[in-house]
Amino acid sequence: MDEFKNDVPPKLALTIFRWFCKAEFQEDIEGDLFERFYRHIQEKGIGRAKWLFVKDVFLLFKPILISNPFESAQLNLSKMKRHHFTRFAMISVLAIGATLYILKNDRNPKPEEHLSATSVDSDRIVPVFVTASISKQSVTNKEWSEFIHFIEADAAFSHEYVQSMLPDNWKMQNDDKPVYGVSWHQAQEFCEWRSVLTTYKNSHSEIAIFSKMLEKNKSAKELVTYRLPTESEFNELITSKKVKGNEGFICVYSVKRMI
Amino acid sequence: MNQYHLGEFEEVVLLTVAVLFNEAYGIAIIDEMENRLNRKVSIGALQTVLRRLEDKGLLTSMFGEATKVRGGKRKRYFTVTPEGQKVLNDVKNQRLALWNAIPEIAFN
Repeated sequence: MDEFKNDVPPKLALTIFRWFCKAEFQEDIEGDLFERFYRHIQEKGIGRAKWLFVKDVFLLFKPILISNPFESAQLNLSKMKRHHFTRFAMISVLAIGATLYILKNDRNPKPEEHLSATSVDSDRIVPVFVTASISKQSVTNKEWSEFIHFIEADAAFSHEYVQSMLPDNWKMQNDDKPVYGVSWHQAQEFCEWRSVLTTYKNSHSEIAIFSKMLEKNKSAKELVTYRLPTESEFNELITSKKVKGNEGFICVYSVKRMI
Repeated sequence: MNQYHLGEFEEVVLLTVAVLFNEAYGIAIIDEMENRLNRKVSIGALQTVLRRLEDKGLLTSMFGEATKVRGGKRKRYFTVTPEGQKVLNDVKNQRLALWNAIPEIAFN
């Protein structure tokens, strides 16, 4: 079991199960789902196990096992008992959350060709200390220019990929002004590249090709990650007037120190 | 004629619970059925039948121990009630009576 402590069943499926299943049946059925899930991981791998977990939850949707969320509750909020109201509110929040989650994931599909800095985290020991901060400085033309030069020089990146990383109206500017005309996907790729590069530079004096840095970073004691701010982080920065909405894009910086 | 009509899957589940005796909980029942009968069984299909048989009074259940691999959730062990045993016996006798009634020439 210990080897699977990081492998958890799909949270959304589990939440849906807990929502629809009658309370008196929930504990033992959930235990069965977990037991089967961990066995499937051993036999078929994590990806297939997750899919089978979702399928198992879907097949539990039987009238005899389903609780009625609106049971004896009147939809008149003023007359509704407190525990019915709580349940009704939770279901509404869950439904809205699930809808937003699905919409968000549909809107941002991952392209096929991209840097795979996230693989740095795979098969790693547990981080013991994490610090995170949001940079108040926008990414500059100079930094973007370094990025373009790097991927141009690395034979692993195709010409098409390099071209796809050029911002709108890009003229190889090399100044400290914020870079403009960057798409969400380009910004994501930049953050991943910068994460790998910074992690590598912390323990090496000279940079190498991307794949080599990625490989070496697997044994790094300090993992640096750059990512785009979430919507709420960005809104907070705007409302606190730490950045202006029209000043290019900024990165959230975090460091994980490994055991 | 017995009081209850048992479906084929209900009969198989009831028999499997009897086979496992004190070890009959969800996953163990599925494993036993898949091994002995070579058929796929989903948790949903099994749980539906278990609850239905419990409602009919043919099965009874009690919580057992919680384990790590079950996310700390307890197992629910099922046992066949005396009523369930009687129904199984009736079904078996009906089947045997039908088998015995088949003329020898029919299967030659």
